Amino acid sequence: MSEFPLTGMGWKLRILWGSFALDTLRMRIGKAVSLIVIIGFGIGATFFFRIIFEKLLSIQDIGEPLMWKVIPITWFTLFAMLVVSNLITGIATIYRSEEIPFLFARPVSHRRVFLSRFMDNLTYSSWSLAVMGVPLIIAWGWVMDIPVFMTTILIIFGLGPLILISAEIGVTILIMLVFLIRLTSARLVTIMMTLILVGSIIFVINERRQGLIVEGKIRTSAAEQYISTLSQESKSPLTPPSWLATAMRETRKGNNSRILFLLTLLTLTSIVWLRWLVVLSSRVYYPSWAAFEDFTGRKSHYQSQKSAYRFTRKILPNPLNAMLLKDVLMFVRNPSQWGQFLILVAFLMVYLLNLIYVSSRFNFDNPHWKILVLFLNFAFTGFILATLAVRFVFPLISLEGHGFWVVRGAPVSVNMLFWEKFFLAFVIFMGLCEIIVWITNQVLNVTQAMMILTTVGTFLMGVALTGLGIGMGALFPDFKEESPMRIASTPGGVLTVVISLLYVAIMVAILGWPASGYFIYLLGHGPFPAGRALGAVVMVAGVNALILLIPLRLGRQSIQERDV
Amino acid sequence: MFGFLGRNGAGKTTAMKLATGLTRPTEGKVKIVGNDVQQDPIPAKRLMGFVPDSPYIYESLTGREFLFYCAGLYRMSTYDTIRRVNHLFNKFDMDEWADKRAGEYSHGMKQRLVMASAFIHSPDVVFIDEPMVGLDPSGVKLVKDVLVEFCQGGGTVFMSTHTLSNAEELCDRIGIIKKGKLVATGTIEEISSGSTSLEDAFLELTKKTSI
Repeated sequence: MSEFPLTGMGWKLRILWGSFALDTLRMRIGKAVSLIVIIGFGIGATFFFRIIFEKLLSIQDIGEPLMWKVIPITWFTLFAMLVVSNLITGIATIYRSEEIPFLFARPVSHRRVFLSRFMDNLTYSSWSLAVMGVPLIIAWGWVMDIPVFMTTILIIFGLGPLILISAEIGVTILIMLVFLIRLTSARLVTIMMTLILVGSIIFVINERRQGLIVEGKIRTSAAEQYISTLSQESKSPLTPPSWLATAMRETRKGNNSRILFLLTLLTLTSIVWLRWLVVLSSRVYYPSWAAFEDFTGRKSHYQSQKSAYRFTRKILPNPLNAMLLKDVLMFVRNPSQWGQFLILVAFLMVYLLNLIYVSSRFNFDNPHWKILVLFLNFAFTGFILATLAVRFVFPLISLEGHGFWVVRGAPVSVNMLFWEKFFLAFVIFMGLCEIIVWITNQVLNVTQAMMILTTVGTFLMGVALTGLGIGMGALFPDFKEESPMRIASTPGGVLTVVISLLYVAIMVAILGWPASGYFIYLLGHGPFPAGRALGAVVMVAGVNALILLIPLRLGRQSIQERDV
Repeated sequence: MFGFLGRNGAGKTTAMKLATGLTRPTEGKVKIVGNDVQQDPIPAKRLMGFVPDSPYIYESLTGREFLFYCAGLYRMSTYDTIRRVNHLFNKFDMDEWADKRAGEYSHGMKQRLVMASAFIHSPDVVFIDEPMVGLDPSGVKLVKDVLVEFCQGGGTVFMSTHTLSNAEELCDRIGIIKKGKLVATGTIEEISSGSTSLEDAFLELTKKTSI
């Protein structure tokens, strides 16, 4: 079998098969359960998206136009996230992997080495979109009565190329950045990146403004103005996500020639870009990798270290202080960690600015809208917390890595280790999420009862999801992997994603129960829902206790019994 | 100083990990100065230091940061930490490298750093798995001097090694392990009695049984 194009992938498949053959029964059961969970998640997501589409379509007059507005936004968001994900994972997979020196030492061309790393990166970064994207298209086809054949075509020649293009863009940006750093300096490239990021945020906000209002001075309400924009074509016709969205729209209309054109455009773009990337890599990849290898870190300043140690020592006792300082230093010095975190913060800023903008245009005094937007925002905050729990909290134990013997050989209990990780994650992420909730509550001008409900709800979700992330991270650690994103992509990470999302959905549903009663009470159609509130408190306490204590207990037991 | 000898795969590293609480025994107990490592790990670990066979450390930390971290795990005061860290960098001839990231260190430098971390809290007992692997001749001499000085100061070193000459030079007593079982223990003279050298005695005690 020829080595081209997947040098190393053949070996990997063999290794994977070999490792499965050597697995114990318990490990095989674990993998089978993970597979069942992923398939179950896919099926569940299909039903979930179906309900969403049906709800959208049931809105009189504007349901379908609204759906055609939501679909491109969804593809664009997922596409942007994938580009970023490929860029960040690429640092570990394409430049820092231990396989690369091994492959470069063999008679294998640079192009083939690059392709093997690219495929690896694509797999790690993109599977999550496949898990989300395929159910979305199936559910849409189901609701719209699209033939299965056409849905399959859209998945293979629409979603597939879209995933490939996002990986190609992310990796191209990464290679160019590393090459630029080699030619100029890391500082200059960081400044450039910051400017690009700020520019992108301004662009996205501007795009959203364009999407919400119609140019011209039509003297109608903001809602009517918004509805009149729904029938408009996408304002970004040159982006691959809009090609897929338009192909779906044309499938609905039965316009086969346009579908063929758009899917061919997507497929050809992905192939041509890959070809171009291979040519680029044959010239640039090896020198940029060598530059990455030769990069020597800056020398740390002893005096500033000593001062930092003395200062933090006054606030926190050891060993908590030492462990926290170590984790913070490692976080700051890992570009894939803080890069990802900053991008997430940037997305949050865009979200908040959008919400502020929309609330300034719409009348949210109507209790129905207010509670709906409030709960959508609460669910979004939960989703952010779940993302943070998987991306940043779950890998914390695994990131101790090969150096785990240091802490296990020291007089430090597993409880102390858990507390330190919990404290670190909780303070940062809760701060972030409570700020979101506070700002959105202020923007929506909610009642005090709703303010307390969402603030306490977010706090509880923060506690439970942080505990879940640490517990699951300890239960399924991968001490051999250095990339947090790849750690989050392991079967344990997938299971954590599923549990986190289920938990958020349950929490929103439980808290929505008394809130809907409160809404009826505000309208004067019923009494204050004291019974519902009490029932919700009991259910919330039960669910949080389960989600917090069980993973932590299992994780602690797993770490205590694990040989280092 | 106690030397622990055995062929590859005899169980030396496993025994070291059992003694330091990094692996759980299926049966039996290990006590460090009277403290059971499994039942009472915190006091036991406070008294010991450990140097593993592979010097895995956090590569994004500098050597100094790594030692500060280790000192913190042993709840050392800030004053003692700074004093001990400076002393150990000087002792292990690493002053120039103290504020560089460990990822830039050679294998030998990492080995010295891990060795320094084992002595940061002035332990009573130090477990060292293959201490001379990857060290240059000056490093080997330095480590030997450090170990001898530590034992002369009343400390105990439990060292596993393949290098019989090191064991002969440094150890007061040795133990020979075969397939997880201690087959001989005693002074060099006691072990080698009846053979021409320690090497012959070692080969005789650990030879493969014929099929």
